[in-house]
Parts: sequence; C-alpha cells; structure tokens
Amino acid sequence: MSVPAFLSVTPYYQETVGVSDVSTIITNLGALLTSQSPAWTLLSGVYYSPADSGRQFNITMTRTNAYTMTILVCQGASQAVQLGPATLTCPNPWSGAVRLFCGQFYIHIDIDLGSTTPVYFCAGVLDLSPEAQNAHTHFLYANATAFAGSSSNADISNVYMFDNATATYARRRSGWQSYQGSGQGFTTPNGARIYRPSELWCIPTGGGSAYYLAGRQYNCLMVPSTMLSQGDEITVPVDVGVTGVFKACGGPVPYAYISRLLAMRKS
Amino acid sequence: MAVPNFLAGTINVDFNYLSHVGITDTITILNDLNTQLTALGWTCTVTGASPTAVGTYISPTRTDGVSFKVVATQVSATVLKYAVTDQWSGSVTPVANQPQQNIVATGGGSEARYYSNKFGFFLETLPSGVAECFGCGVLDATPEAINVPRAFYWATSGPRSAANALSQNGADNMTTLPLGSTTYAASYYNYCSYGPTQGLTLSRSTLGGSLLIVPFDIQGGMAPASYLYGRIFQCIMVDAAQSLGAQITVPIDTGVTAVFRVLGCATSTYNSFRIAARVS
Repeated sequence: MSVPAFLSVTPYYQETVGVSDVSTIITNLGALLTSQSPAWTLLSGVYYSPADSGRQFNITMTRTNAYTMTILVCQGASQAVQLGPATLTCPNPWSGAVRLFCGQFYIHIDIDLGSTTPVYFCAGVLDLSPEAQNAHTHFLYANATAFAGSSSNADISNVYMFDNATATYARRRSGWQSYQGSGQGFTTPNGARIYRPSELWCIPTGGGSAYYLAGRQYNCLMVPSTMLSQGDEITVPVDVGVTGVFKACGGPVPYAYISRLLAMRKS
Repeated sequence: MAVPNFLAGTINVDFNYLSHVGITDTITILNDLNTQLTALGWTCTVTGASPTAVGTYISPTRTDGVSFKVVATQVSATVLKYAVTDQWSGSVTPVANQPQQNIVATGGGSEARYYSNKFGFFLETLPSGVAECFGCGVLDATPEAINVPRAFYWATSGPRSAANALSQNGADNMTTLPLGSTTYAASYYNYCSYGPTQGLTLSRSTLGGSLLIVPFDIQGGMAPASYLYGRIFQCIMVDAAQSLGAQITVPIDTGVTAVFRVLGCATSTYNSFRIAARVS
C-alpha cells in the first residue's frame, strides 16, 4: 500500500490561544503560508497558492473590526474568478484558541470559542487522484461559518464550488447517509470510529443537473461527531506502519442527524 | 494490498453464478437454488411437489455460530415466498411481510439468475422482462469480527409484498435488525449512499469520467448515533444509469478483477444507484 495522495501533502499547523483580534489570524496565517514549502506568494495583499497542474487559488483576508474578517477566495493566478467572500464573525468581545491548518493546497481556520458556537473557514483545491490532477477544472472549494449574501449555511455539508460555471453554495460533501434525515454509520457497533475522506461533488461545465465526484480535500477527514469534539486529537493509520495526527474542527451546528465533523491533519 | 474480505473467495468454491432461461415452474428455482448453494457448502433440501414444494437452505456452519436459514415456499407454480431466519430463530422477514417473487410461465417461461455465496445470495427473476430481485444474507464486518457484538443479517423487503404486489422491488429497501431493537424492520434509509444528500441527481462517476464503485454498506440504529453494520458479500453499488444485466469488470486488487452483473431491481429513489452482484 501507500499513503493516499490526499494525505501525502506536508501539513503545517499552528495553535494560538487567547486570541481576541482577527488581525492575529491574518498575521499568523500569512506568516505560515509564506514560510512553508512550497511557499505561498504574497502580492499586493493577496496570497497565492503554489501552482500545481494548473490548480491554483488565492485568498484576500480583510479585517473589518476586531471580531470580524472576510476572506475572498478566487480561482487561478488572478482574482478574476471569484468563488465567494466568507465572513468570520466572532463574539464582541472575544477570546479563543485559533488553530491554523494549511499546506500547498489548502487553508483551514478553526476558531475555538469554548462554549460559543465555533467559527471556521476552509478553502483549497481538491485532490483528483487517481485521475490526473488536471482532469477537470472544478477543483476549488470554500466552506465557512457564513458567506456574504447566503443564509443557508448552518450545515457542514454546504460548500461553495463552481456548479457548471457558477459559484454555488450547495450541500455537496459526501455524506454516507442514505437519506437526508437518517443517521450515518461513522462508528461500528463495537465502538470503532470510522474515518472517511471529505469528498466533494459538483455539476460539471455544461453538465445539466447531475452531480459528479470532483475530488477530496487534502489532509482532511470526516470523523464521528458522536465521539469527538472540536479540538480532540486523533491518531489515524494512513498506511502500513504510518500514522497521521488530526484535530477535530468545529463548525456550524451540523444539520440534524449529520453525525460528523471535519478533522484536519496536524502532523 | 489484498482483495477486500467481502470480495474474497474463489468461484465455484466461495461464490457462483447461474442463469437459467425458460423456467415455467418455480420448483425449478427451488432445485436450482439447491444445486447452487449445496455446491458452496450450504445444507439444502427440497421437499414436496409443485405447486406446493418447499426449499430449505441453511448457510454453511461456522465456528462462530453465524448461520441463517432460508425457506422458499411455492405459493403457486409461478409464485414463491421467502422466510429468512437468523441464528437465534429471529424472523429476518416477519411473517406479515414475507417477500414474494414471480415468474411467468407463458411465452417460453422466465429467466432466473442466481448470484450465490457462502454468506447469502441474490435471486433475480425476469418475468416479462421486468426484473424482480430477492436477496438475503449476513454482512461482512471486516476488519471486526462478523459475530461481535452480533451478526447482522439482512433481506430485501421484496421484490413483492406478502400480497404479491410488486411494490418492494427497490434496491434501497432492506430489512435488518436495528441495534437496540428486538424486531427486524424494513427501511429505505439503512444503506450508505456515498453521495452528498438526498434529492441530488448523482452521476456515480468522477468529473474525469471514471465510474465509481463502492461496497454496499448497511447501517442503522437510532439517528444520529447510527452504526455501520457491515457490507453485503460479493456485491457492489453502481450508478443508476447502468443497464439491467450489464456486466462490469472491477479491479479488486493489484492485477485482480471481478465481474459483476447489474441487478434490475428499481433504482434508489433518493440516491441514484443500482446493485450489482458478482458473476465471476
């Protein structure tokens, strides 16, 4: 066997506790992105991911005030193709732990506010394996607590991608449930947790209304929310004799019966 | 790598397949099942004569106690009904909901397709070209033991109801014993669909054009704390656009392929899939 491609990317991780101003997030994430290998590029306030087989995206982080920031996600090497601006709003005032997960192909911001509903943002390009990484152009996704102009966001399944040629917020993450209101088998009857890749589906350009599997998020797993909470750390075998350490992330209150969280790779 | 446990085995030793055309009496099906399952180590008997014959099929004995029994009874020369019993004598197919299955004797008779293995079988009849599918078995819980905390048995709810209505012929309506329950129950919601959610039209393929093949996993329990019970042996889930009877060759290990045939039971209402069972 070998480590799956979506788990073969070097993870970068940083946790900062006692954060009370989103400017700390912007500063720390920027430093993390531009110091990793391969490094992201900062040009005129825009962070560009390293290009790979044509897959590239960029983000623009803007502080609104101490507790609010927006992140604009765009596809490609320019800002011409916008996927959507995410809004991260913490309580006013706030103090929490901020966990940053990033790598060549992705960013995940996880804000742990204790008893308050967590705030999060993630964006990245998908791993298309086993197909060629340039097999299609619907590789960009963004997911956050809230997006400007969208109200249907209280669901971890909702993700921005391009459906046909239009940026669309839709319930597109593989659920493994049979029916929207049914539970999901993320544990065995013996109590073992089941970890699954986070896979995203979308409508191809000119593709009518059917959703196709676009790919899987790098260094990201879906884990059972019935057994794990935000900040929990788990060690997952990713190959024979190889493990990865992941941290469960918070997010909007999951849709009823969707018993899962995202977990991002820490090391 | 290795062949996944639910697909492991050798043809004619662990699993087999038979297509029999021109069947005009369901006793032929009872006898075919007898032949197919006996070859795999099941204990089988067929008693009586048509149209009241009874076939009894008991899965191979295992040291862990996992075993189940299928009694197929002729309702008439063209109708069968099934009663499946688990290892504790629990009715997987409750009496009031015992599935029935038809053939048509006229016009040259009907075809029957038998997809059998040591842990269960699918039986598909094609009266007048409309496929009717019955199946039952025990689930593969690998990497955990099949009998811990207990074995999970399953059966289709159809193809036909106990009143012989062709109303239960869906690929997504299975009977299982939910964790925490003492009574088997049918549900449209106890499989893992793999897709994002209900209501979306899925093409079970990638944007790059590759067909997606996934195990047929069954889950249950009281939501949201549902549990993955296991997967059906020698069976996969394929895109709903696959045609009845289409044969799909699937790589199941490095340099190893298996051939599956698409069953004709109705596609899932919510999740765009069909069942395919192993042929070779």
